[in-house]
Amino acid sequence: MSFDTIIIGGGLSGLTAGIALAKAGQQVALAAAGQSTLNYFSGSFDLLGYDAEGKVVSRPLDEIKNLPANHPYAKIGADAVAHFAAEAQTILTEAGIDFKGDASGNHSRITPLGVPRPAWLSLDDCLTADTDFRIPNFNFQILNIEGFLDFPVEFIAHGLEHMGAQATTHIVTLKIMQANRKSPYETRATSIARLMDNDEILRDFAAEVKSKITNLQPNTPNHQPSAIVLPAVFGINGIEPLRKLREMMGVPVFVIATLPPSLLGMRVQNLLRKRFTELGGKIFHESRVTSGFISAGEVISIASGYSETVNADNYILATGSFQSHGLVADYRKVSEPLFNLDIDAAPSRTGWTKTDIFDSQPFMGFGVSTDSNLHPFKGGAPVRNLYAVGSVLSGHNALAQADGTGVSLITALAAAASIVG
Amino acid sequence: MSNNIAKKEYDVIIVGGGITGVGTARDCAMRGLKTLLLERSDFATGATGRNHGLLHSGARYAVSDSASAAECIRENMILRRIASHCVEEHDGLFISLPEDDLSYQTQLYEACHRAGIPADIIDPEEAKRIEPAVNPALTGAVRVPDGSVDPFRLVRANELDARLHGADILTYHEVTAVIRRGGSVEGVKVRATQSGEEFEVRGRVVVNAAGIWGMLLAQMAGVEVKMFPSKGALIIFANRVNKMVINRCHKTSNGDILVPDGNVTILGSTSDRVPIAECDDMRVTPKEIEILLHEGTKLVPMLASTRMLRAYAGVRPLVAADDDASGRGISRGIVCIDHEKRDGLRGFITITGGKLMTYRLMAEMATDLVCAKLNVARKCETAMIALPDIDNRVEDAPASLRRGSRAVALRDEKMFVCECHKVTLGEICDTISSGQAETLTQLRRRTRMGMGKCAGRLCALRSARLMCSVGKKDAAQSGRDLADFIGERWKGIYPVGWGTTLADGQYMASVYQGLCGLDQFSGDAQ
Repeated sequence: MSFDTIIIGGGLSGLTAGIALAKAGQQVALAAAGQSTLNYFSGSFDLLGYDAEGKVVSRPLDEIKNLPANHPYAKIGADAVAHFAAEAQTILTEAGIDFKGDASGNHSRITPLGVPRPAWLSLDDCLTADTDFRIPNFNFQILNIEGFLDFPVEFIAHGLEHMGAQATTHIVTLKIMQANRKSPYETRATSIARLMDNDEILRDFAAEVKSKITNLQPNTPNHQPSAIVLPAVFGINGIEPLRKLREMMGVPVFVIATLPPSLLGMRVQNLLRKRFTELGGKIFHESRVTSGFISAGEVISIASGYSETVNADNYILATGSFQSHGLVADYRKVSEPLFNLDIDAAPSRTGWTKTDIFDSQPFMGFGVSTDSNLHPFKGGAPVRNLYAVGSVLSGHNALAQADGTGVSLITALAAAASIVG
Repeated sequence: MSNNIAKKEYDVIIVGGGITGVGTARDCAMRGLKTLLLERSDFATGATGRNHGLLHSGARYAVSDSASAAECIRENMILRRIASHCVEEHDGLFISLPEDDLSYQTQLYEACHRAGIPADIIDPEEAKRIEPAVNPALTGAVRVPDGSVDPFRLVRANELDARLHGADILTYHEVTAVIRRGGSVEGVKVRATQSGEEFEVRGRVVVNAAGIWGMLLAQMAGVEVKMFPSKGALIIFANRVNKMVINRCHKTSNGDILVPDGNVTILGSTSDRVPIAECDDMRVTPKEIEILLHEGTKLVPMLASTRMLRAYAGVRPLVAADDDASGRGISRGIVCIDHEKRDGLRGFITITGGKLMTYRLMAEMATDLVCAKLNVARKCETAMIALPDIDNRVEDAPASLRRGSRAVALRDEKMFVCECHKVTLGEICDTISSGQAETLTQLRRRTRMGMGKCAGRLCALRSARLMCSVGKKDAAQSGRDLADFIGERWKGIYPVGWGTTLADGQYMASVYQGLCGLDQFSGDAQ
């Protein structure tokens, strides 16, 4: 089989690159294997949340000039980052992903522990604070579903109160869940979301909520308005179930991400995959690419679980970091397992980690090094028809800088633009 | 509570909440003594909770120390009887490799028989059949009745039984001074570490069961116990690779023992002298990891590609033999010092050395001495009377392994908070609401929550929430506790931070810092 471009990796960066290329008319194949980091997606995309000192960045595009030269944004250039940030918003919108925010200024998402973290775009479902990081002045009614362990309402209530809002917690019983509660797997966010996709169950749930919270205040001049905060367990394929719930409740309804698996991440993945295949892209599911062959500075072919080797004019490496097996650390060294590309990493293992987990961990910044066109190097020479995107890249830190999903989106689009020319 | 304690006059005050201390408290209480146990932190925070959990057959000491070996096999058989819910019986092998002298096997075999340890020399092919993980290059094997023992369950069972027999037990109460009048110890000064409250408590005999920290307690009493803190590093693997304990059939050395326990395997250990000041914050070094893996993969080659969960280290309280202050005569056996006899100090006893699984005998020796001083004639019964809750196992509730028949009461809420160790919502809520766990680390020691393969990726946060809803903790406080807990897990991960362990560490950090913003609760951020 032959394609214009083959993408290795089915996470956020791989799917985004695939959509951009398919939109431009390319024949694109994407090999997806295992879980991506969308498994713990927060509901928000971040572009650049913290500077080198750990201070919150309010205008991410203005901060790019201060990044070190090996950061993927610095390689692409500030103007190009702004351009691709706008394109990313278009791509997400076209895929049916409803969101708020833009690259001109960060806002805050509210984490499952009730604390703010800077964000660039947040799914429309999510409770967020504004660009001045202020929480809207609601009387928050925070609800959990009985038997659901992965939504820590006490932390959220505490956090919202800390930000100056009023907050009360409630537990709602969902009858259909009671029968299933013996198995922990039935009470995952994604399993509950499957139930909530059923209109009848959703109506029952809304009735339960209304019976629990009897003093819901609409937004009238004399009262502090109420808003409902729920775990993100609504809408595997879109925001529709939450919209219905908003109509039924008559007051603002927001969600906050749960512990993994993330329903919001699953939704983003489903919608991006749908968009990609509608544009003619081909996904090879459960297809782990096992090796790639480079000769004279070009990728010749790749091999996977399928017996057939496939080839293309261009390849995109979107295999992620250690947790996605895009990078591998053994006792002695860090390597890139498919092509054995050149790696930016501390040579000695003692330099990989720091003793405090919340310190900026060196290994988070390890990855393949590239030139300004995102061509990775092998043996010191760039590979001309290979592009590296997303978390497999060196020079950024998704935790300390809050730039993970942004790097995935921006570098995917930069690589696609470079391929299309 | 402290007020009541301070008013009481105790027969015996035991200092130290490791297995030796709680075992001694049980024995003393069973003999009718008015007993108080004081622990400065939580139960099992020293060597008790930081070893490989081997239920020694004694074979490991048979050649070098026949008396210790005989102690081990006797206690081994007793624990199988009195603490069957804390013991896993799976036997062990002593394997010889091509570079080992097979004549040591004969020595070991004969020494085992002299010490009363049932040992069989088996064919290497037979060894491979019963233990498929073993290095196939082995040239010989001896089968012995090794097993594993869960120190946390064992401490819990002894603590519970001591209380049932009337003992008072205070954790987070530190002894700050030993009260002496002339040549007699009359009690201790105590500080409650959480409230800062200080008070004195009187007792006719004080038993020093403080492990390596016992040398400091002895100093407070004005006597010297010469100890040599010996650090032992260990690695826990995420799978149970071996069915049986695998030892190397040679003179005891580094990394030559592999103990299966539940669904994990533990590789131990190293042995290095460390200063006492280091004992409160042990860190595993890259060198120790290298030694352990180099030796461990000789026992079971598959270890080289087995996922490591974390590394940890404990301190053996090695003691100079009774009258040898030079330290040359270090004993690995039990040391029970009557300071009246040795130093002329009445009412003070040190019980130390020994091993996790000889704790009962240590407790018996210390209690016999206490009883002799107090003219109490009642004999020790701990070898005969089973620990509580071993009867009526609840077949389908994993908590039964930890709680025995008490698990029945916890059956209602069967959802798992910790999926790795099948710790149910009922068990977590009960442990919190009954006041047994104020922190996640305590909850981990009581229930095994967060000790499994996932390194607490879901259960720690779920439990932190239950600390708020059930334990009525403030979210900020519970968040700090969670940050400490995850930080502590990381301390075990980074020394073995490569391979899938690093990948798992990255996932854990991504969930807790990235998704949740837990760093905002950590000490520095507050």
